[in-house]
Amino acid sequence: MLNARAADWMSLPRGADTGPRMSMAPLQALRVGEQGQIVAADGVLQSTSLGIRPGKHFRVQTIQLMGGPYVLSIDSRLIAVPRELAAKIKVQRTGDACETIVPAAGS
Amino acid sequence: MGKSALFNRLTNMNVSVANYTGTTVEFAACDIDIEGRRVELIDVPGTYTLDSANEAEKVAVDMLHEKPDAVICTLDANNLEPSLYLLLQILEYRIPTVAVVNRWDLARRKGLYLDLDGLSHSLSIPVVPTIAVENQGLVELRRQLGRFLEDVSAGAEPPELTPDERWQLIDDLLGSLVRDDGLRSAEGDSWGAKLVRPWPGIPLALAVITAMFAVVIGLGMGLRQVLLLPLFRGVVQPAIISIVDSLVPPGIIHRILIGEYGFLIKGIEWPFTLVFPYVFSFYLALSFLEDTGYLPRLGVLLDGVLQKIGLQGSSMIPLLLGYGCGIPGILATRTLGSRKERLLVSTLICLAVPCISQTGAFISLLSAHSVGLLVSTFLVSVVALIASGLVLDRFMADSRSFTLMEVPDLLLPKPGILAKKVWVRLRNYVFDGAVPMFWAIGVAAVLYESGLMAYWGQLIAPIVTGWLNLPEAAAVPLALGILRRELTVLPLLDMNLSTLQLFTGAIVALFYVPCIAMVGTLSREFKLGIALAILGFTTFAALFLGGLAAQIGLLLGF
Repeated sequence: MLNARAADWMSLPRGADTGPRMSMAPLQALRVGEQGQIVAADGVLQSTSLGIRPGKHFRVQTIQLMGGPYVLSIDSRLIAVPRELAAKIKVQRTGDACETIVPAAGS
Repeated sequence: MGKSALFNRLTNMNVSVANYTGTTVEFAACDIDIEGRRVELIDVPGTYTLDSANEAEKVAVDMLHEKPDAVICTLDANNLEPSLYLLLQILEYRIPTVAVVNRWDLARRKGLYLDLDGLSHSLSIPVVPTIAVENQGLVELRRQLGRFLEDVSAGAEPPELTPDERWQLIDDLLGSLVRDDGLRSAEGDSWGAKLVRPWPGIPLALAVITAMFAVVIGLGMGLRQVLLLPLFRGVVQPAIISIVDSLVPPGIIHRILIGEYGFLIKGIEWPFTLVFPYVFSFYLALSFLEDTGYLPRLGVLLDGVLQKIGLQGSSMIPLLLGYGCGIPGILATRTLGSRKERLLVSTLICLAVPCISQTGAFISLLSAHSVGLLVSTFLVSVVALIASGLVLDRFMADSRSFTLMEVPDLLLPKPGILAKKVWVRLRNYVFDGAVPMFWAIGVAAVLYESGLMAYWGQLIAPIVTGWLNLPEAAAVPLALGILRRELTVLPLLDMNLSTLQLFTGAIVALFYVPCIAMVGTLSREFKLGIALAILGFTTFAALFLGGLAAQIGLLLGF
């Protein structure tokens, strides 16, 4: 009984397959402050548990200096993503502000 | 998310807790009484999933394969999604499970409400809310556990799901059971995000590190000068001397007890007045930082720099722990993703990260003479850390693993928990540090007074007096250093060394062998061969670099 409703619920945010295709990119192509939705994160260990899974909205909080990681806010968590992994994560930019995201603090 | 905090509350034990993922790297077990029933409670390292990614997580997964009678799965109320994923995976093992929803207070503050009864019904398991650090919900948890253990067959048998199906189920559960009032960008969180941005994060990181140094050295020195040294010199020492004088006639026994290496004098003065103050100030500062959740932020900010020497942001915490004691530092490398990194960080800790006992000894030895000397010794240690990182990174095989890192919420440490942590670490220092140091000094006293030390001194005189340009007596710390790291430094105190000799002695001590307990840890964590290799490598580095400093200093006319 749970899964029937789950299926309904899940069909919406699978960004890559629904609606008009917006610009798909590796996470690495995003800049600080940009928001997006995860499309795929294949081969990234533990990504799903840290909230990096298809359909999730995020915002690029910051990108560290000297080749350091991307820091994303997903739901209310901050996740540091090394650049090597950021190249593997496919995302879709979302132009408009998204409610599931923490408002950017201090910017 | 509070497994260890919960474990401590249920058992009255003091397993270490902190505000970051991966604090617990091994399991702890304790027999407790639940409603008249004796059960063994086991605390395991946290894991996001049962597909373990590192050696600490493997401990947790292995434990599940041991078929425990029941599992308490701790969920993080502010982070239910991954917690539920793990819970669903555990339920598939068909082991009776109780879910504890911890950190309930933080979730409330963020405006998150979870329908606990709904969750309990959906999954057919007991669900108990707790705030472990404030001791809330523990009575109810005990009651539930008691009832649960009466009838452990409780709980439906869930089907095995694919990961995608599990996530679907979770999304559905969260959709129907969680109300989110959207108060998430609380004050603490906005600072939490600010501190991880290069601006103002990096300047603030430098400020935090400076403040930590200031607290460790300032508070430590103050405690020593104002309280401990006067207490020892004025009260304890005269008392010991008069007691020994009245009981023991002058002679070798008298000298062993209170002579030059008299272990009733040095064996108490060194561990308790020279080292203890810094152990206290260091662990106060470190424990505070641990509980705020700042350390992972420091790791993320410095990740880029650390990568240049083969490390990652996640190596930050093992290294920092190493500045306290090498053993927890080496154990904490279990959370690192690859064996190469584990080995690299462990080697660096053995070679170039002085433990707090040794640091206290350095401060005692060098600061009275010149602060510049103290600063240069630490600069040498940092340069050595970077240089050996660069070199070792080249030589070690195995590819680097890149891992995602969760940055925890910023929290204000709870004074009670903080005090307990510092207390436990001080107690560990007394029993695992000061007591062995006392006996090691006793052994030294016997060797010294029996003349065996002089023989050893002559044996290695070519190295000590010839190459290192130190007095023959400096053979003593080289022997003692194998037992305890600070004992490579402390015996130099009374030798009236010149500035150059002090520097040489400090350099040798800095790189010299890890203590015997660390060698034991290395051989357990890796293998004996690796421990011996590190032993040989550090000894060579110490004697080579110390001698180099001495010879260059002599040439330059110091």
